[in-house]
Amino acid sequence: MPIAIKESSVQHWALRCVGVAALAAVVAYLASGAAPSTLGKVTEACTLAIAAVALNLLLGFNGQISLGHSTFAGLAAFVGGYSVNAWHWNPWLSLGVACVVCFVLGVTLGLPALRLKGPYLALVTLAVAFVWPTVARKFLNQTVKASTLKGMRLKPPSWTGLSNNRVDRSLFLFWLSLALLLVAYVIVRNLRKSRVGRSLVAVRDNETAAAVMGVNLALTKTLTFGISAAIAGIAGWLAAAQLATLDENSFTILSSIKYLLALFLGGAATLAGPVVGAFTYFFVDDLLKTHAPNWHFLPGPLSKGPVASFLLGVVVIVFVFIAPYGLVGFVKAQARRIALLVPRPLRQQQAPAQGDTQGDTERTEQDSPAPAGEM
Amino acid sequence: MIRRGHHLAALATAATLLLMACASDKKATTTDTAASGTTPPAGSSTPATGSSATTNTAATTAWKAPVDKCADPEAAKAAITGNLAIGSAMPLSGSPAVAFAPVKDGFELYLKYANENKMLPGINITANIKDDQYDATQTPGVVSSLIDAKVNIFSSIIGTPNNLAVRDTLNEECIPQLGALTGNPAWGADVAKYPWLTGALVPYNIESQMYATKLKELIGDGGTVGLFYINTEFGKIYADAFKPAAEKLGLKVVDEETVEGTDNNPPANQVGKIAAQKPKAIMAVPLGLQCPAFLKELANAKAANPGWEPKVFVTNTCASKLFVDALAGPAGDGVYTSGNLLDGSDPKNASNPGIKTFRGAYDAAGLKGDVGTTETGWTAAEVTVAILIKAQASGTLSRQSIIEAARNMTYTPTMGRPGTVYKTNGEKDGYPFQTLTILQWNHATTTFTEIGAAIATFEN
Repeated sequence: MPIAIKESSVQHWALRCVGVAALAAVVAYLASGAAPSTLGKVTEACTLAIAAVALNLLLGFNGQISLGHSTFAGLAAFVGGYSVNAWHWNPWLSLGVACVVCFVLGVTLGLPALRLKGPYLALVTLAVAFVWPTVARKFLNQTVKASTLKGMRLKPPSWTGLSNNRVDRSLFLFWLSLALLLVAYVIVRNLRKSRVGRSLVAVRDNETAAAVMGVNLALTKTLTFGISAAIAGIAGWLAAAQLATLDENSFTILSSIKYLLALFLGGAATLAGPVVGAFTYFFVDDLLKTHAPNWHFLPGPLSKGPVASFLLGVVVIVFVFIAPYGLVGFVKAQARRIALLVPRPLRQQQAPAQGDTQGDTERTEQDSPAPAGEM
Repeated sequence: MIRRGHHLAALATAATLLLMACASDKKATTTDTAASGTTPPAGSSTPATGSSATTNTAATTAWKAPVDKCADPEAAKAAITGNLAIGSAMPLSGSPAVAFAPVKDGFELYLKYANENKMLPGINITANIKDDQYDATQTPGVVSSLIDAKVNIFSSIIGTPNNLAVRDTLNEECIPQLGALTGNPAWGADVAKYPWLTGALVPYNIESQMYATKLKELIGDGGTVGLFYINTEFGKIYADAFKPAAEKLGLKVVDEETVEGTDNNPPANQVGKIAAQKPKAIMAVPLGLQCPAFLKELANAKAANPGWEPKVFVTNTCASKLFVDALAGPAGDGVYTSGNLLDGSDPKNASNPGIKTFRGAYDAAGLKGDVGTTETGWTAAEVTVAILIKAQASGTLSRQSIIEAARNMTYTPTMGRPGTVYKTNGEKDGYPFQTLTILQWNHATTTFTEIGAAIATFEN
């Protein structure tokens, strides 16, 4: 018999505080004592998480599939790298411009989405992902006239008190990536919990019904594409801030597949899912690449050879079977055996203010695996 | 309904990843590092086999490393004692690993041999090789973790973009980045700016000029040439070097065709256009799986044009038996290429002391990977150990003395073809290897035949 915890009760808030405190403790531990390479890995995981958060907005909440998000990330990385190195722009300005450029491209790419759905839309975005490396190569050949574009290798600003060495740079990028991930998360969370967010989900679940209810389908779809692309642009810019070089292979279709994997591993259409999925994917991949080549206990040809990618594929498939709603859905399902979150009565939720929509937006998740709401 | 769609998409994505992991050699198409033992670096240290290796005698005082510019000058000068860890990033998983994994085996095998023979007195040499999947965005993370693991130097990082991705960091940290396993002319071009990085392969532009010279000998003045290359920086380096060299030698490039780096389709159209011109020779710069694909298309074109038998040159990145024999089959017969290492699987080289030692260790370890590629790793380690021996002989084994040794050394590798030599001279000569021998593949005997003596005209 699970323990019942009322939503917004003292116990509920206590649990939330414990969660936040645990997260803060991990961050503080990493910032104070982790090696630069560990901080670098967290930064890379954050970059992946931001891209997955972007994809979640589009695919998870709006139901539009995109295999072309690597293009947005690549474009933003190139805008950042080129503007900072060739035009000597302020990197922060380049971040803003990169997001705007990605937003415009996203809106443009969103136009076919008005007429196409499912696999057909996926094919259009797939084509974009395939075209990007050729465009990038042409740009490198004709404009940069080099095999690679310099990344930003962002230096810590003087006000941080950090110097421009490997250790301090990794610490700065660690904090920066966490901040950008938080920004991306808050944007999507606030969108999701607003009137716009309800429109997104309505369009995803039933376009006709959404249109009848007054949702502007064209505007909703194209804007979602644009915002999602802009957030993916943040991920690309962050990659350029970390890397020394960029080329046409830096953001290929494989990157898009990684974003998708991270999203589904964590749980699509959940706020925390993409972040959890990205970190899980990144560190499982890292673990396998580090240790799998030495796992001589594996049978036959697996005992020696390029086995890490194969094992990663197996792990992902197993995850999908064990946790079909993603890790977040899985954890929620397990947690419900121990404690059940009892939602506030509807009247109580509506009483404080008509405009406070948090309660009922949670319930618009018709097929949510967590009927009792998020803990 | 939506959820079910998500599940299907998730399954499809996972299955795609699995397929990509299993689709072994596709991505090898885009790798620009020598996969064969015919091309790779060379060099070896003192008694690699206790026999024919010739150690250098150049003084380590000639060129000095600018340690004052290092993030931590004292660390660069600090003596290395007890254990010396060599770090590297190579593709050990994913599709390129199929072609490159034996490099790691060969590298580790030589270090084991060096330790057993106490080549570096008082020092145990270890290798810490990590996987970057030939993805340059992963290399900085791999290298960073190796720096944190306190490796002393890096050696034999595979891939041009991969080496570029970490060049700045390693230069700032003043950690030697020896023997980059690619032939980009950038390695060695600016020693003053990047003193801590050395290359290992003959620069692609030099190789390309050698082919032009040999073509002139084969087809004579005014001979026509068709040029085919991959439309990437790799291909452009060859093409940009070949065209002026050919013009200077009186050769006429009658057609120029390219294939995109991401294109995995056979270049039937491009080869057809070249065949229409019926040039006396073809200079081809495909990459990875485009090598056998090109050779097969060319065989089709020749069959369609009886009597047309052009001399065909491919770059030595194609000179792997996997490409010219196993995948191209009879279409590879007669193709010209180049190399600077003896073929360890050719019986006529069996008595060579270097080959003997290598084959003994290879067989004893029960290795099964491509002999030529394993030879590449072995030789890369051999050169690295040679540098370490020289650095130790200078009095103090440190990061500073190691890079100074690497930049002031003349050395003959144990498995090198005649004329192959590692030779550097500070800022005056930043390219260790500049000599190649033109080879021709014989499908019947499955061996490379040397065509003339080694071309050493580019040595400084």
